[in-house]
Amino acid sequence: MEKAKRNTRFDPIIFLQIGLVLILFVFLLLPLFFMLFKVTGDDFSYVTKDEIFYKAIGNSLLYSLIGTLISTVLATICAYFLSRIHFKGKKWLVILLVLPMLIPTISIGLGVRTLFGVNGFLDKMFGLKFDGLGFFDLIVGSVVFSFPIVFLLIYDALLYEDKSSYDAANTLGVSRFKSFIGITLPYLRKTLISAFFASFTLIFADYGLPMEVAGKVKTLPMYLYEQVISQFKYGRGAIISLVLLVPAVIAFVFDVLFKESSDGVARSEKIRPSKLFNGLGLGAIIFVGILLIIPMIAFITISFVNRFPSDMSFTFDNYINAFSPNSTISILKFLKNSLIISLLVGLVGTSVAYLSAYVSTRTKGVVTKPLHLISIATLAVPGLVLGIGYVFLFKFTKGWFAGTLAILVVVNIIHYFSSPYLMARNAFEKIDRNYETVAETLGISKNSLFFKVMIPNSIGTILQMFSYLFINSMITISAVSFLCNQNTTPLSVGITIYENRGVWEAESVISTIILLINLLMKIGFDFLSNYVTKIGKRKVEKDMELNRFQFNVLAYIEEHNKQVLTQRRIADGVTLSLGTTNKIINQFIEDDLIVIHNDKTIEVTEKGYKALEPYKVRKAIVIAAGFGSRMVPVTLDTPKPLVKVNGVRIIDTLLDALIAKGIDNITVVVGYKKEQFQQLLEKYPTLKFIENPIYNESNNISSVYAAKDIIDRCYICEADLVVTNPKVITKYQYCSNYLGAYVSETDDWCFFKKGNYISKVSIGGENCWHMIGISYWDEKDSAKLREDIVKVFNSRGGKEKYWDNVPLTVCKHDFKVEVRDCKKKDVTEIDNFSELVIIDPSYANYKKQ
Amino acid sequence: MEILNDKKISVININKRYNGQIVLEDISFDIKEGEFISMLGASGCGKTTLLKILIGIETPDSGTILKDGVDITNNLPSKRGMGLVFQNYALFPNMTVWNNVAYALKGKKDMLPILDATGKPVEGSKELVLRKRSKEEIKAIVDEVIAIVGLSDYANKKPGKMSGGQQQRVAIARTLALNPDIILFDEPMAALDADIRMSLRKEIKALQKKFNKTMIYVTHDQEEAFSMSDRIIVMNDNHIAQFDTPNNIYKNPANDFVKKFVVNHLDEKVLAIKNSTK
Repeated sequence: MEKAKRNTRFDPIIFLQIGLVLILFVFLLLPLFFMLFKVTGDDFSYVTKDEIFYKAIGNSLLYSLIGTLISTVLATICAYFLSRIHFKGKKWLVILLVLPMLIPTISIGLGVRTLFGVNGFLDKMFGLKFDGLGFFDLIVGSVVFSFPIVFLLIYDALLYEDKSSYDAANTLGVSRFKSFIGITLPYLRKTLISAFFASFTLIFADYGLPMEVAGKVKTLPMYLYEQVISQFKYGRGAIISLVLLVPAVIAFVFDVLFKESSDGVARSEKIRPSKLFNGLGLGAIIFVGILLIIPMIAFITISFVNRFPSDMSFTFDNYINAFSPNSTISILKFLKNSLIISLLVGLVGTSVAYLSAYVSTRTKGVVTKPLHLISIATLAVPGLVLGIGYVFLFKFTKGWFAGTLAILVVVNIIHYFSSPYLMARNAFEKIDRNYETVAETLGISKNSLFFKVMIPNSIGTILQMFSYLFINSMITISAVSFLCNQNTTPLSVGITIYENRGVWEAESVISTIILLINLLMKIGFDFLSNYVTKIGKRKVEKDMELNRFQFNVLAYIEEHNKQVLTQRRIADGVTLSLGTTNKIINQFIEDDLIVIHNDKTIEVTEKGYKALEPYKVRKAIVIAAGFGSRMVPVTLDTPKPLVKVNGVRIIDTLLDALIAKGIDNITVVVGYKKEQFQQLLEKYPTLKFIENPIYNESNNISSVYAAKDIIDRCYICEADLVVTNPKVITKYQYCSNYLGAYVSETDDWCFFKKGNYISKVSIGGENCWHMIGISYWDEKDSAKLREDIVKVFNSRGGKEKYWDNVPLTVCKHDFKVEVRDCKKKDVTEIDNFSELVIIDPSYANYKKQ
Repeated sequence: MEILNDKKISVININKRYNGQIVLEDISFDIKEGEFISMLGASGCGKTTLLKILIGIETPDSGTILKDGVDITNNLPSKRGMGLVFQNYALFPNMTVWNNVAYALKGKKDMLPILDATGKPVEGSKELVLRKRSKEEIKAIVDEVIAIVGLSDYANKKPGKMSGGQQQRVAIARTLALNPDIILFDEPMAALDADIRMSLRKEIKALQKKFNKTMIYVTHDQEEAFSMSDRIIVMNDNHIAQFDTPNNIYKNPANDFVKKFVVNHLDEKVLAIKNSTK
C-alpha cells in the first residue's frame, strides 16, 4: 500500500517523454503509414505493369552497385594508407577526403557534367569526347559523393585494428600487400559490408545526381519524381517509395544486428613506416583527393566565367547578378530561405535530439526504449520517401504548415535525426550517474540540473550536433523538393530550377556558395567545439604537477612519513644524486609541501598530499576467475587464489599488501567456484565481487571486460601471485606500468623496452624483463583501456585474447607503459602442482577427492 | 509520550527485496537526537540500501520510518530534513566551490522570517513566510559553511582542481548549507588517504558537537566506526547483528560474526600497531 502511495508521486518528465514520442510518431511513423493507405489498386496495377518501372529498377541497381564497388575499393585503399602513414597534416587530408559531404549531390552532378559532357572541359581542352550523359557520369558522380561515408567508416575501424598480427607477418617476411589481403581485409569484413550497404542505399535513393547527368538513363528516384512532380500521381509515388525503402531497411537491420559499438576515440599513430610506403600512401590519398574535388573545381571555375563553354573570360558578374534582387538569376530569396531553414533545423533539431537522448538515457519510464528505437529508425528512411509521406499526410494543413518553411524544417529534422541523437546519447552516458540522486536529496529540480549541469557539461557535443544538422539542411533536396513552393524554395532546390532552364552559371554560383558556407560552418564549429572541450578539461587538470623526480622524492617521504630521514637516505631510496635531492627538498619546504620538525622527522603537509593526490592509486582489480588447470588436482577443490601455501591463502599475500597501503577499494573478478570467495569477506570486509560469467569459454580478457567500467587509476593484478615483498605495491604511481624483473633468459612472458617504455612483448627472450601480472593504469590510460577492452573484446577472435595484449600489442599505440623494476624473488609464481609441492611439501600427499 | 520525544528517528520493520532477493529483513531501531551512529558491515550486507531508504532514494517494500514521531516514509528525499554526503563527492565540475554550495539554496523556498521594505529580515519578528532567500542571505550562509569546512581560500576554484579531502569537504559544506537536522554519510572517506581520513574524522565529529546534528555514518572500517560513534549498528546478511555502544560491542559481542568481524579485527590492528612501534 505504501508502495502504491509512493508511485502516485507525479513526475512532470512524463509530459516530455510523451511529447517526444508523439513528435516522432506524428512526423515519422504516421506519414509512412498514411502513405501506404493512400495507394489504390489502379496505382498498383499501373506501376507493376509499366515497363519503365522495371527498367528503372534495373538501371538503379546496376549503377548503384558499380558505384558502390568502386568507392568501397578506393575508400579502403585511402583509409588503409591514411591509418598507416606518418604525416603531420592528417587532419587536413581527412577534411579533403570528406569535402563532397558538404555539397548537394546535384552540384557533384553539375561538376561531372561540365567535365565529361558534350562541350565539357575535357572535350574543349583535350578533345576527349565521351558519349554524352548516362551510366558513365552516374557512376563517376556516385563514387564521388558516396566515397566520404565509406571512407569514414573504414578509417574508424582501421584505427582499432589488432596490430600484433602484422608484427608476426613482418617477422615471417610476408609482404605488405599479402598481409593486406590476408589480415586487413578479413578483419574489415563486417565494416565493409556495413559500409557497402550505407553507400548503396545512399546512391540508390539519390536523385540529385541523376537529375543532372542521367540523360536518357532512367533511375528509380527519377521515375518516382516524374510520377509525383510532373503527373501528380502520388499513389504511384508511394509504391515506388516502398521499393526505395528496401535496401535502406536491409542496411538498417544489418547494422542493428551486427554492428559493434561505434563510439570511437581518435589516437595518434606512432608507427614509422618506410619512406617508400609513406610516399606511396600519401601519393594515393592525394590522387584520390584531387579526383574527388575536380568536379568542385569545375563548377567553381564556371561560376567565374562569362558564358560556359563559349566565352571563358573571367568575371564576377554571375555573383553580382546572383546577389542583385532584380536579376533573372537572383538567389537572394533562396539564400534567405536556406539560411532560415538550416538555422531552425540546427536549433530545433539539436534541441529535440538532445532532449530525446536525455530522456532515453537519464530518465525512467516505459517510453524510453521505444523512443530510442524510433530515434535510430530515422536512419532507414530515405528523404524521398519521407517527402512523399508528408505530401499525403499534411495536405490538409495547406497554408499554415504545408506550403510554409515550417514543414521543410520539420522534414529535415526527422530526416537527419539519428546522427545528432546518437552524438548526444554518447555524451549523456559519460556524465556522472549520481547527479540525479544528489539533486533529489538537495531538492534541486530536474529542470535546474538539466540547464545548469547537463548542458554545460556537453556543450561541445551540442555544437557538433548543430553543425551536422545545419550542413545537411543546406545540401538536401530529396525530401524538401516535394514540399517547397515558389516562396519557400531553398538554395539546394534552386539548383534544380536553373538545371531545368540550363543556366549553368547560376547552378555553379549556388553550388559554390553552399560549399563556402558549409566549409566555414564545418571548420568553425570543429574548432569551437574542440576549444570548449579543451578549456573545460584544462581547467580541471592544470595547476599542480610534479615532475618525475619530484614525485619520486615526495612519494618516498610519504612512504616514510613522520620518520627521521636524512637527505642521503632519500637520495639513495629514489636513486638520485644528493644535489638534485637537496634541491627538490628545499623547493618542497618552500612550497609548503613538507615540513621538517625539530626532532628531524619529516612530515608531508596537507598541501603535499594534495600534490600527490593525482597520482594516488584509487583501487585494485584482482582477476581470480580462472580454473588453474596446471595446478590440478588441488584446484579441483579450491580455486588457485584460495589455495593455502604454508598456511596462507595465495590471494591474501596480495590483498594484505594492498590494504597495508590503504588501498581498500578492491574488486575481485570471480568465476570458477565463485561461492568459495565469500570466505574472504570475513577478513576483508571491503572486498567487492564482480562475476565473469564466461570465464570458462574465453581468455582472461573476459574478466577485465567484466570489470571494465571500474578501471580507473588502478592496479590490475592476477590473484595467483604470492607477493613475498609487499613493497611492490605502492600507494602512489606516476604513470602506467607493469611490474617486471630483469632476467638474462626466460621462456615465459617478457618485455623489451625502447627508452622507458615497453616496446614489445614476447613469450621467451633474452636480456629482457620477466613479466609479472601486476600493472598500474593512470587516469588517461584507464580511460583508453575502458574503451579499447570493449573494442577488442567485441572484435573477431577478441574473446580468445589475453587482456594484457590489449594495451601491449593490439592497441599499443594508445598506451605508454613503463616497466617497474622488482626482484624476481619479490613475487613468486607457482605455475604448476609440482612447484607447489616444492614450496609447500605438505601437498606431497594431496589426493583427489 | 516522553520517550517519543527522545527518538529522533524510528525505523520500524523495514523490508526490502531486489528482484526477489532479500536485501533487508525486518529492520527496526531507534536513534536519539544528537547521536552519532555508524552502520558497520561488509560489502553487500544491506547497509547502503538502508541508508538510501532513510533518505528516500529507495522505497521500502514495507515498514515505517518516523522522524520526531512523524511518519516520513513517503516524503520526498528533499522534504525529510536530511542531507547525504556521497562517497564519490558528486560535485558539479562546471561550477566553482562557492556555486556548488549555493546551488541548492538558489530558488529554493523555505519558511523564513518576513522581509521589511528594504529587503532585510525583520529583526525579532517571529512571523514566518514561505519565500526564497535573498542574495545577501544566500551569500551569508554559503560564506559561513565554506569557512566552517576551512575552504574560504578555495571558494572560486573548481572542484576538479582540488584534492579528494577538499572535495569531500565541499560536499559536506553543500549538505550543511541546507541546515538538515540529520546528516547521512555513505562511506565518505573510502577514497581518501589515511592521514586525511584522520583529520576529516575529527572535523566531522567537531561539526556534530558544534551543531548538535544527528549523524548516521555508513562504513566498512571498524576503526572508523569505533573511533567516531556513540553507538554502532553492526550489520550482517541483511540483518542487524548488534546495536550497541562501541564498548559493549567489544566486550560482549552478540554472536560469532560480531566477534570475528569486529573484535578480532580490532585486536589484530592493535597488535600490528604495537609491533610496528616496538
